[in-house]
Amino acid sequence: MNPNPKSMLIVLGIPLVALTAGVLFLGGSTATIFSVPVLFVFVFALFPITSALMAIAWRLYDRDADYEEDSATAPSEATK
Amino acid sequence: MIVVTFVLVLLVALGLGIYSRRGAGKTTADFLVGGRKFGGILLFILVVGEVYSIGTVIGFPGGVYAEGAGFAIWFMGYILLGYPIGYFLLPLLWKVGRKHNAMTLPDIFRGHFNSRALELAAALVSVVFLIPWAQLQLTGLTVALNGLGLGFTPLVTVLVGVSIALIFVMLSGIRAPAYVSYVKDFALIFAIVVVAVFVLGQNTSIPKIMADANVGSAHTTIAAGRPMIHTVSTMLFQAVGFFMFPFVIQAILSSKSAKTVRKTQIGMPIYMLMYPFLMITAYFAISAVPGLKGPDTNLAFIEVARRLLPDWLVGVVAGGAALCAIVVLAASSLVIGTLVSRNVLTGVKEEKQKSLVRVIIAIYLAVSIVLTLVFPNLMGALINTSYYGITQLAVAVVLLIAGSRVRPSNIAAGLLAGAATAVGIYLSGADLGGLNIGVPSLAVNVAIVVIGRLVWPAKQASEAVWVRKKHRLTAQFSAVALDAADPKSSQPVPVSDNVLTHEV
Repeated sequence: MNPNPKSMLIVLGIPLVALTAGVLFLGGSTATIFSVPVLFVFVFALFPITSALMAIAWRLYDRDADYEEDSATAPSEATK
Repeated sequence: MIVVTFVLVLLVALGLGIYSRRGAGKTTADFLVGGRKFGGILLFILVVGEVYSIGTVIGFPGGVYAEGAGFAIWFMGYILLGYPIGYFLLPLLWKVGRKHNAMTLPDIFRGHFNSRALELAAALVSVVFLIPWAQLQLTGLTVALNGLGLGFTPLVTVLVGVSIALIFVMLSGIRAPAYVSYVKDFALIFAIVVVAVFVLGQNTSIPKIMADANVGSAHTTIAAGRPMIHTVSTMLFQAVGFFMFPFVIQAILSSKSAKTVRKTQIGMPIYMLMYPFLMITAYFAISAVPGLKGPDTNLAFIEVARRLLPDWLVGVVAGGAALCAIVVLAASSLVIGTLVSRNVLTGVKEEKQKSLVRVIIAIYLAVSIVLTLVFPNLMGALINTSYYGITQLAVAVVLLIAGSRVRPSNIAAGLLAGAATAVGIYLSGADLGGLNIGVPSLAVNVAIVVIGRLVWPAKQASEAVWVRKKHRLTAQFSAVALDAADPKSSQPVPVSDNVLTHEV
């Protein structure tokens, strides 16, 4: 349940940096891809990419994480 | 015909609302958080149903019409960044919420910090800054109903909408919005896609729409300086506040497990793929419905629909849009009642709580109706206004998760000061060069917390919700070591307590 650092980098770090940098660098651009402003192409692409990043982190780190580990009913692990 | 299809959409939704009453329990917990039994799909629908409101269908095209790409980017950006934050934050909030049997964020604060001051401050900020949110829904509702061309006065329009929202809440609490969300989500996507399809069916093309959108003023780029500062600061600031919204917290607490809560976030950004369709309509409106100014820019979407769609379809689209507003209005009303009855007027008996909730909802709606009618505003601005205050809760949540030696009353002071700063800057109309006024307000909030921590720290750190693994494994040893190292520690804490502290 506690955030996994690698998972945080993938799920939060990449979209945060990509979106902020993308808006700053592409915001003033008049370039287009298939006549759509490149800024919008980039941001729209980030929607499925962000989902994909979460799915990757979920499979790699978070799906099998112990979600009961912090519950009061399982103190045995810490006392091993 | 336009009215028939409009009413039909609402009737289907109402039918589902009534149907959902079956199986709803009778305790307050059932009424408010659906008995904490919601699985992944229902939770997804519920959260999506409350995140994508009329602010998306009606407000987004209106904002793009008025302010161009800068508006579109902060609007989509903060939602997109909200989900990754939620992926990590929400399971922790769920955990601590469940531990304290909480239904609201102030409940969590009371349970965790044992602080009445913080509970009250958080409830107050939540309630006050949810008023613009109701205004947002009511404004959109007025636009949707005006789209029917019935010539109702704004007052009648708003009252009709509010009545329907009230019926939903009275029938079965949060379960009504949850099930109605199925119809609403479908209606929302349908409305957005169908209008975009009709736009593309015109004698036009994407290149032409884009070119026309830039006639007069640039709508497809964000100029450096002020507009860019506004866009980026708003995007980042509101992403932080995204999951501080009381009704989203309530939806999260209604879920059955922390794992469900996290997994549900994965699909959320995919849902955002409706925005390209909305962009088409928004940019098309700039050339197709020229001349809208001020709060009238809210009409951009519905005006495009009226000009292109057959009557019966306008009714369906307006009905779908209205339903979006009603679902969120219902959810907000419910959460307002919860906050006031549980966290402000405490000591109320269980039986009385339910009826009190209803009275308070009525007051909240009345205030919102008056503000909507007297101070019409751009819908995007109403979203910003809500976030100025709601985001201030994030400081308290971070301290809750991480644990700290900041006194709860100090956290409350920071929260109130942050919210008050936002209101002050807003009312003064001060110019910050484009910077979202929530940012300096948040800085005041954080500054007060930091200064308080340095000058007047709590004797003991508050318990952290987020505990690193190495702490767990070495809990006993580190607890003993800390006690030994800290000469101020007069009373050794029993080891077993420490194990629990680090485990819960």
